[in-house]
Amino acid sequence: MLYLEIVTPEGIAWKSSEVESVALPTRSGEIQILKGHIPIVTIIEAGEIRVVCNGKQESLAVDKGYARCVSDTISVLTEAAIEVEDIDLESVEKAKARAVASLEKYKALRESDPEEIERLESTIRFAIAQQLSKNRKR
Amino acid sequence: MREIRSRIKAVKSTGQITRAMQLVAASKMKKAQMRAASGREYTLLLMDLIDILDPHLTAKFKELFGVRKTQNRRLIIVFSTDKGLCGVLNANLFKRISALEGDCEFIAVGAKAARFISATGRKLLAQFKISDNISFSEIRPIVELALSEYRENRVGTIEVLYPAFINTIKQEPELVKIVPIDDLDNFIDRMRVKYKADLADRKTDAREIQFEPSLGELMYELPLYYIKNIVYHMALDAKASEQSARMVAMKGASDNAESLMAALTLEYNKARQTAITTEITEIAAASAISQK
Repeated sequence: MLYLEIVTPEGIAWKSSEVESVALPTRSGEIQILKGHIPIVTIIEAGEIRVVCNGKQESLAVDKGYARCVSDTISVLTEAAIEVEDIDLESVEKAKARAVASLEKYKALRESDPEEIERLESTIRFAIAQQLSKNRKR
Repeated sequence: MREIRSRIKAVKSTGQITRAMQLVAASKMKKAQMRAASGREYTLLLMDLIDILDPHLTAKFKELFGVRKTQNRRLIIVFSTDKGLCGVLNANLFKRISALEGDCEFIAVGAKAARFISATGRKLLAQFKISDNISFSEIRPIVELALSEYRENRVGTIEVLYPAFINTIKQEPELVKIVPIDDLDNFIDRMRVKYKADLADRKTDAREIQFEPSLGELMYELPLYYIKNIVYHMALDAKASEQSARMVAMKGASDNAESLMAALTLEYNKARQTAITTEITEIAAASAISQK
């Protein structure tokens, strides 16, 4: 059994010690982690983490971040994470539209704050990750 | 008697205001404390990551944030409050500022610190304002400014002075050096102790750790992100302290108003009784004379 925890600035978003396998969206492609995996530290991209837990498959949408796997303990450090079951596509679509609109407006301004742009882009990135994971599930 | 009555009225309305402020601060305090506590896991995990990368990071940290010749010129970021009525919170911070040695420059967060620093003729580099519901993006410009001063060799250290949250009735000013990073292990250990990390529970693996996609890419953003995250957490802590201190101060004020009200009411009743007694004596005396 693996232990998986997904940690965001708001706290631990998801954790379980009964995980059979985890698929992480890393920068160099998806990697599958099973028991006894070699220790690894990797960058993860916005996307879907698929977990097999008690014989059931669960999936979580995450923003970009880091993941560490040491002695069957996988810790994911990310800005945001949400269970795909809980994703409300309509509100995600709205949030994305809002972020895109303000991003356009921001970029048009000459004095734009790169940090603010980054924040908006991360909102959009996470929204897309959520939509993709939800749609795959259906 | 009229004087006492007007004082009772004044004390009562003040008491109502402080009571209302106490309730507002109490609800904000709960939120701020929760936010400060819930972010700890994240910081701890970030520390663990840094710890794993440490042997490789040390050189990078040294290059980016090493000890400079200008080491005795200090840049201090002070987290204070915008508003008063929070007990000795700011006064304690100012005491620490007064006790600082060396050539210090300040970045003030919150109006109170800015006023104190400029009023005492110290060097104020910039003043920032953060909201009660603080977000990560509010911290970035503060850190960026401090780091640019450091990179251009105008200052040698970056330190943060903030009211550390211990519990609801206790907050203590704490001065933490974040740059230069010359003793990372020690720093991480101290933060772990502070956040009550469970070290016994930590997993280790004797096998060599693989880094993907590459060590360089992993380390590219991490150092800067690490510093920002630490400062962000100090800001969260400072907010929790502020709201707690205000809650306690306002509770004290409300209690005071109540006991003052009781004392004044007693005094008022005594004065009234004296007046009535005098009046009766006068009437009795007058009627005794007229009956003669």
